[in-house]
Amino acid sequence: MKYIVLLIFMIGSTSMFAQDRNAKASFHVDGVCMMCKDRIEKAGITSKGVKFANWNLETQELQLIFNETKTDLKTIQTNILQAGHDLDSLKASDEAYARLDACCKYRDPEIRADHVSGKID
Amino acid sequence: MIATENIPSVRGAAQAYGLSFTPGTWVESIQITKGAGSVVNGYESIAGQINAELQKPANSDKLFVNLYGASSKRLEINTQYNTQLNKKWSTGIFVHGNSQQEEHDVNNDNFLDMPLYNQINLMNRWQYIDNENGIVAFMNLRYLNDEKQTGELDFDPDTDNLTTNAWGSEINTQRYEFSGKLGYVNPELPWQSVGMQLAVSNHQQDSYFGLRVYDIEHNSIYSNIIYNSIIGDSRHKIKTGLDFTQDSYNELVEDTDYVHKDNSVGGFFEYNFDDLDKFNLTAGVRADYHNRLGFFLTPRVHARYRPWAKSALRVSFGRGKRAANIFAENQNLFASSREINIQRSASGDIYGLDPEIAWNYGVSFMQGFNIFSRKAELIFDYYRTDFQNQVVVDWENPQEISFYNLDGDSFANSFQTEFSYNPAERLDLRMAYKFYDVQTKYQTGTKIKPLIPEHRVFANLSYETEIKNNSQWKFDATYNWLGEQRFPSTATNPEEFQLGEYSPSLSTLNAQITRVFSNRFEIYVGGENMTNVRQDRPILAAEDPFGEYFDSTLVYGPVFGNLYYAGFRFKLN
Repeated sequence: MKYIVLLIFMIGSTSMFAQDRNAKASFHVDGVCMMCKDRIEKAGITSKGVKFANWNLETQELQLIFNETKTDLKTIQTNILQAGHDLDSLKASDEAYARLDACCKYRDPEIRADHVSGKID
Repeated sequence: MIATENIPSVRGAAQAYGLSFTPGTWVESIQITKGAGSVVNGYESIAGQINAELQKPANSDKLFVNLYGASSKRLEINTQYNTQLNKKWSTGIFVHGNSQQEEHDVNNDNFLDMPLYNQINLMNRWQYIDNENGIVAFMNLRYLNDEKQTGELDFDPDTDNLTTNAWGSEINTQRYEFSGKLGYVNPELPWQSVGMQLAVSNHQQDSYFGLRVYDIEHNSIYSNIIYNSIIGDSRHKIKTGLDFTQDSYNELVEDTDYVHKDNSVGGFFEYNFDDLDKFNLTAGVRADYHNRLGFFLTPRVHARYRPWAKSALRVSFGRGKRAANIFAENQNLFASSREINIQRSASGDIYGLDPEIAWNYGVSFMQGFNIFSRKAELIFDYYRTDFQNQVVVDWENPQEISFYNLDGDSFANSFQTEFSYNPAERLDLRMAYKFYDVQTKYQTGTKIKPLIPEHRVFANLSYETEIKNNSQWKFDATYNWLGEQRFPSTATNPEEFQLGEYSPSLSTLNAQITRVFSNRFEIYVGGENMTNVRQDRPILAAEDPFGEYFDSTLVYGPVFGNLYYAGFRFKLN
């Protein structure tokens, strides 16, 4: 009987907090070039529990697939901020931003304009 | 190994003709892998893989017409028509024809300098795309008819076929092929996909060379299934799957029939790690069971490392194993008086010979940099192939060609350095030097493989003018230099039929000018071998083709000399 209760409790706990092993999320991340893409995706994928990360330069959307039993969105977003990239609502620290390569300084309107005009790749 | 859309294609009966049965305008792109290839494409490749992707009906020009004519009176036509039938289906019809019916004999040896030929090559492709459900499929139907005639000028195939009236040769090939591909990518989990391939072909060659008959029919079935996924996250990718191949060969060589059937079934697993920065590793292994090669494992490893910016260091090694099709691969031997001598071994299952086994090791380093703030790149690579067993093709006795199992060392060392530079806007320069040292232990001692230059130089310069109103000029020139090549020994021939130990070195120059008039229309003119370099006496004992010294296999350079051509390309999107 004791075991049955335990068993019910265990089943109950998994179904009550159903966590998706292939949870999907997608949000805005600031960046300007292919080097940014590499850095953003790397920051995503190296975050424990993330299985897939794809950042689109045009739409600036980062698509993620991650295991909710191992991580949560907040942890992953923290990792991206630490790599120096701003999210919609959250800004990367100045130290993290300062570590970006010169061509990746997406907060600088001139650098953004140079990427658009093709002056730098 | 040469593959078409990742299906091994230039093998068996088709091996001798390489990609000449795939018209250039059908090819969308070519990928070259040096060194050991991927285990996914089989166990046969030893020193590298070439894969040709063909034009896809869904994103190729709606109509394409190319006409080409050369001073040798070669005519060539390439057309394709692609159409989208509905949201998911597209189809394309590809037609290629070439013909050269003018007799040329610039060296006056009474033999044609180049064959008379006709080729018709047809393909119908179907492409299915369903992005919502992650399905892509291709189906291809191909037909080839190729006819070649060569030999003495006054040879008439109708009356002189297999007689000593005159020496002549005809090679007639027909090939039917169906191939299909089906791919599924899980729309929910983009790293998960399954691909299936099936290729079925019938290849028939009927030929004779003087008094020698050589016919081959090759029926082939190739099929595989590949599953792609990840372990943990998308930095760790895996590919695994199964494949099945059946090849049945029916050959007639002079008076002897050779009939054999090869079956193989194999499984493979490949792991790829990408740290998304400096390091990338691919390691694969496959296990195969083959009715004549037995059970064997094929490991292959590639790694790439970026020690600093704009550089790449690559290393690779792997094993390859194959059954040599000695006649199909050495068809030129028939156009000589050499007697065929197969030295069978007790264990030999393949024409009485053992399977070929080789290991390949390679290292390559690439560095990009700037010269006067313009892009340049320097590549060094070194590959070595070591044969554990090889079917040695021995030409060292001028009256014989012998095939036997290797007893001793056989290796190929290849060192190449390549420099490319963009000295000005739209001006590109590429230069390469290759050292290629191929040595085999023959029964008469260790020798350099005949008719392979040890040193080669390549240079290409191309320039395009700025595009104005969709029109521009394009200029392209290529220089090739080949060092001396060793002739197989002719020392036992009478003096008049002896060649030196080495051929002279030679260089050729090709150039082309293209005028683009619009997005739809362009014309081009060009020249090949413009400095008119020729091998004086390509055929030994041409005056006595049925005598014992006749040999047309000792060709080291161009026979015909310079050639000029012109053509146009027309396309509609």
